[in-house]
Amino acid sequence: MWYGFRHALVAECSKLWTLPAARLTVVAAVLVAGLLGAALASLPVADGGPATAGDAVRQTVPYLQAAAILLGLLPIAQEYSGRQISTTLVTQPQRGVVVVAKTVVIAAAGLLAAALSVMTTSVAVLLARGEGAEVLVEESRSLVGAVVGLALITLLSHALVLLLPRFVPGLVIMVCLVFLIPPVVAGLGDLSRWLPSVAVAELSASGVAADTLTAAGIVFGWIAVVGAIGGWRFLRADA
Amino acid sequence: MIVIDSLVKRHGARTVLDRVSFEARPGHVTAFLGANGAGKSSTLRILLGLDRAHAGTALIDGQPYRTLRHPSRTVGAMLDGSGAHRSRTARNHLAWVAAAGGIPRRRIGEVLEQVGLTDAARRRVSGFSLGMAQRLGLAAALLGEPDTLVLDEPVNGLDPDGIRWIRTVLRSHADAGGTVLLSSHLMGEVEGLADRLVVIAQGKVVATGTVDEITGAHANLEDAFFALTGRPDATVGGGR
Amino acid sequence: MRLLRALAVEFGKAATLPAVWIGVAVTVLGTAAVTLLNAVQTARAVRAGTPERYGTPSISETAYAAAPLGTVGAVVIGVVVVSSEYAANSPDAGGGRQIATSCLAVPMRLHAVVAKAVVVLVFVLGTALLAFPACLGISRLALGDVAVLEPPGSSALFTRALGSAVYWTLMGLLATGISLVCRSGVVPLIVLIVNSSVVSVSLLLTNLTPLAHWLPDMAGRNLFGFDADSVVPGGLDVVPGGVVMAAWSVVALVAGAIAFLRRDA
Repeated sequence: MWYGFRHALVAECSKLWTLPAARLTVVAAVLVAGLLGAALASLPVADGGPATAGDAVRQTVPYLQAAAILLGLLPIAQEYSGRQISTTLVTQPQRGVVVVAKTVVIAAAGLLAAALSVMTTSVAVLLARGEGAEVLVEESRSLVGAVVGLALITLLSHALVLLLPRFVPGLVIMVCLVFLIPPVVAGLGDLSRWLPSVAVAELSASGVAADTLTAAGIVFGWIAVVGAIGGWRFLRADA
Repeated sequence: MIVIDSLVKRHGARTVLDRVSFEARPGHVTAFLGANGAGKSSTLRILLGLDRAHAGTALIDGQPYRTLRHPSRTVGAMLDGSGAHRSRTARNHLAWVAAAGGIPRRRIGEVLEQVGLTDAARRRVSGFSLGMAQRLGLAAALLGEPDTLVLDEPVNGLDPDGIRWIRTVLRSHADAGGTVLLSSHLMGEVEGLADRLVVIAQGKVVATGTVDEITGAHANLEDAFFALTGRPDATVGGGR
Repeated sequence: MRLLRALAVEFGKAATLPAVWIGVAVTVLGTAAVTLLNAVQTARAVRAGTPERYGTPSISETAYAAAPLGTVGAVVIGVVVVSSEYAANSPDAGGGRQIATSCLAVPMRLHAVVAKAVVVLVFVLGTALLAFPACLGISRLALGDVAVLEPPGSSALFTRALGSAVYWTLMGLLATGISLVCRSGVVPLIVLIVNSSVVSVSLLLTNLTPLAHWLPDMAGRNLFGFDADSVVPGGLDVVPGGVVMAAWSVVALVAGAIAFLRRDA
């Protein structure tokens, strides 16, 4: 069953790498990361600016989520604009292999893009504040958490569009879920920590380690549930 | 060799395929002839594992498509025009298809030359004409040098040059011992190209045989076709 | 008259486009849901004796707190009216896009753009007409006896609805203009929806330079009529802000019209 897995991996990498939209998204994310980092870092604390360099980096993460969402939509959504899905499934009829290969590739791409973006922000922040890298070394755990969190948002996007393989609805749902619903539910106190984007924010928070495990668990839970239903749909439906 | 046996598919209350059975043998060009909506594409999609049938089997060399070890090297399929994403270049499209089938990269240049798209290799598919898109689809099918070719309306959009070229390609493939199954609704093309015909109407196979056998006593294949599909006096837009 | 015919065409197209009705539904249901949530929590807090957490339990406060969220639906409507023209069909169906048909049916492209703008305006205002009375009703019911009634003669109930509806409409039109320039809905969808959330780039920019208050969403935010002390300080007053925002929408539409008129279909 897994004969073609290695080939499928290479094919999915090739597809993502040669998709102009994917490259554009990563470039845009890195640019935005740099600009926002510099902008935030030069904000005086009195105006709500970040107290430390680490805070500055953390404040850019919510903005980077938009790029993370976009990136995650691409592997599946590109198949359904036009009829590329037929070509994909004819070259690799084992749909399980296709799903797993796509998931592995987007997870790796998401991590890479997130790492690049967070690094760019960090550099921009340090430059703007004229501080040295040591300042961020102590924050390394929260920075890693931020990178992982962004990659998880990418994965959740991918899981959603497995379930609902249309680009625009997937985009609108993810954007609303990540950006619009949390502040509304914030009033409900405890309930909001079950939202994926709030949990992701937890991952990059500086603080007690125990909370990050729960937060990671919550996001993985979302990905698992949505991904399971989406994967089932992909495996069973007509192309 | 392709063996289709008693395929049944329903879309809700509508029966799209009603116990469709036929064979496509090596060394022959078999043409699947029918009107739009008769069930040609549905059959081919089931054959290639894209859709599921409710009953019946569709086997290639004795196996369902999904269990083939090297699908791209066993069957070359051309289904939906280019089958490519519009923002990719032709070369990049063939690159991932080759990678997926474990096909060496040198084949990309070879098939591009074979279909005459070498100059357009670095252009985006969105800028392709219909004929170019068809050629790209064919290129993807030929990448793995498969024994069997399955093509859905391959002649669509090709200019006379292209039509003659594809006739040569398919003919020589069959003459070399390969299996060719193509679907079409163009009588002229089918007459000049196919060894065996399978005529389908409203989900049922109504006739199989050589072109001569099916034409029979009728003046030409077109008359035979309309007679077989139950509309001997059919005219454009009329009859029902 | 040809403009009227273009209007009829665009209305027909929008009314039969599912995405437009989804935008309407998202706004109406979303604002209603948030109002309900708000009202229930406020009432609960007041009864528990801790009213400060949720502010005055006035009907208009509770009902209109959700108004900024309704922008999402307006943006979706504004975008989809244009992006549907450029969405490509599957190759089985010929792989074509609607834009060619539209330009053939209504060759005067300026009429088409004006008609699209009018359609967006009507649909968004119509949505507001559905959403706000519903929110007010829900707010009244959910707050129940705890509700603090408006002082008599206060037109807050009406003016805030009007202001919010104007903001929504201008945002929708801005989205239409941007979509016409980009020939796709992706960029305006992302930028405008994300920006209307707390993760707002415009809001961030206001901290860096007072010029950011002239950005369309910042300029218009006082249209929602929130209390001065609960809003980010600085920025333009209601009417000048509204005018600036309207100017942005007009500029976007003009840019979109120029792009549309000059380009190949």
